[in-house]
Amino acid sequence: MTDDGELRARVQAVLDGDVRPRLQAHLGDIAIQSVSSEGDVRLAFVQACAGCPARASTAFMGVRPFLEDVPGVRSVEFEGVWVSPHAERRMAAVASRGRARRARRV
Amino acid sequence: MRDGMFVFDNVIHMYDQSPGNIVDADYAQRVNRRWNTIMNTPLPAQATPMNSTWASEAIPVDRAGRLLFEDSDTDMVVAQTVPFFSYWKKGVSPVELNHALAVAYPERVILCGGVDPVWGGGLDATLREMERQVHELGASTFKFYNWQYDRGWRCDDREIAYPMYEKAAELGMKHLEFHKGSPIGYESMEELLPYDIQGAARDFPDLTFVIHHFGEPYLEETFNIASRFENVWVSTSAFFMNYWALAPDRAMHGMGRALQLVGPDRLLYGSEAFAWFDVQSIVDTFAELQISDELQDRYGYPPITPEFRRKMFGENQARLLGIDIEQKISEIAAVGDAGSRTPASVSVP
Repeated sequence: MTDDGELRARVQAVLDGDVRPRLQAHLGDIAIQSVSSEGDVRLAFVQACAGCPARASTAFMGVRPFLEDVPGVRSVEFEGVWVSPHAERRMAAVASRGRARRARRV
Repeated sequence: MRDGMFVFDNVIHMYDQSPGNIVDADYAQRVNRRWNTIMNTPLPAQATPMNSTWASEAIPVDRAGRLLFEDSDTDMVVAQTVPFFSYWKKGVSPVELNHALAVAYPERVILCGGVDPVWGGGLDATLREMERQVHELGASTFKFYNWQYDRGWRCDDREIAYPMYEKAAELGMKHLEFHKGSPIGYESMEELLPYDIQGAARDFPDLTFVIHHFGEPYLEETFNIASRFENVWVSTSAFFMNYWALAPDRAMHGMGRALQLVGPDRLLYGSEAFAWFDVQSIVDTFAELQISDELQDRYGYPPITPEFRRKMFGENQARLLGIDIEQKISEIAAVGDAGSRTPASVSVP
């Protein structure tokens, strides 16, 4: 699996603009672990986020929705986040409704 | 081995319930009678009854070895001393008895020593005892019990606790074990809160601190602490066996929350043999443990995957001790059947 530099830069830009400021407000942060040429993104929470009980919610409702819209991104996974498929689907549904509301406001 | 998984039990205890080990005081006698009740509790249908005479004697080494290594899928164990001296003169699980098991089964048993600075004659004597347990008995780690009957110490006490951690590190240890929650006798349960592990973990980042029993009843606190401190691990000892048959949802909530917050790499399978059932029943239960679909849905707990189970069952414990599993499997195979061993040279107290 080779790291796609161009796609990685696009992912990083979204993280820097939409995601990281919110995490840093709580002394947390997130870092890219890898971005494959197929579009599989792997992230890791760092600093205060690493042990935070809210990191699962943040991952699936506060981070993944922003990255899924990045052209070329096929999947977004998180190290150190363990939840059931049911919870992932539920949080994705909540995030999806939020994205739809934001789209209507634009 | 169980279904291809290396079974490395984080905690077994060689209990000594012989009358000579009971402190001659009314409160101690009462605690001992209640302890015997635990050991003779009616068992689930699938379990093999314990030999109830163990409630009044020190567990024989050969019988313990047979239960562990012939009658169960257990490959290795950490034989944990419990330095609980307010009710038992030599402790409820004396270091000498655990050492005897380690001597009888050197390829399979890791000795966990135990000391207490308050009941052990003061800090200086405790530090000397730590040296003795390592140099003379071969202890690879230590177990601590912070509060006994009416007095104790904190894990973040710079005057009492930190010298012990420094000594442990000097003696080459990488991790230490802590009885948290689950008070055995009349000690105040708040003295066994896991909060004081935080300061210790922060100040000794190169040491790993293992919290036992999920810190019950302080589960959420324990998991929050382990979630934030990478050098804090959690043993499943007692918790899931306490509840799996009695209240499976409770067991699943504990395991599910532990996996959700702490993750599969820092959880350790522990049977707490020989407190209740035969060891194989505990192995079977852990091998089949799963979070129900309903709780996965309603609480977001992750399912226990084969990878998670393999890690908790033995890989994590091996990693904690720096043991190469493949090498150990070969070593155990070379020794052959465990058999019942009581070497003539081992003096069983």
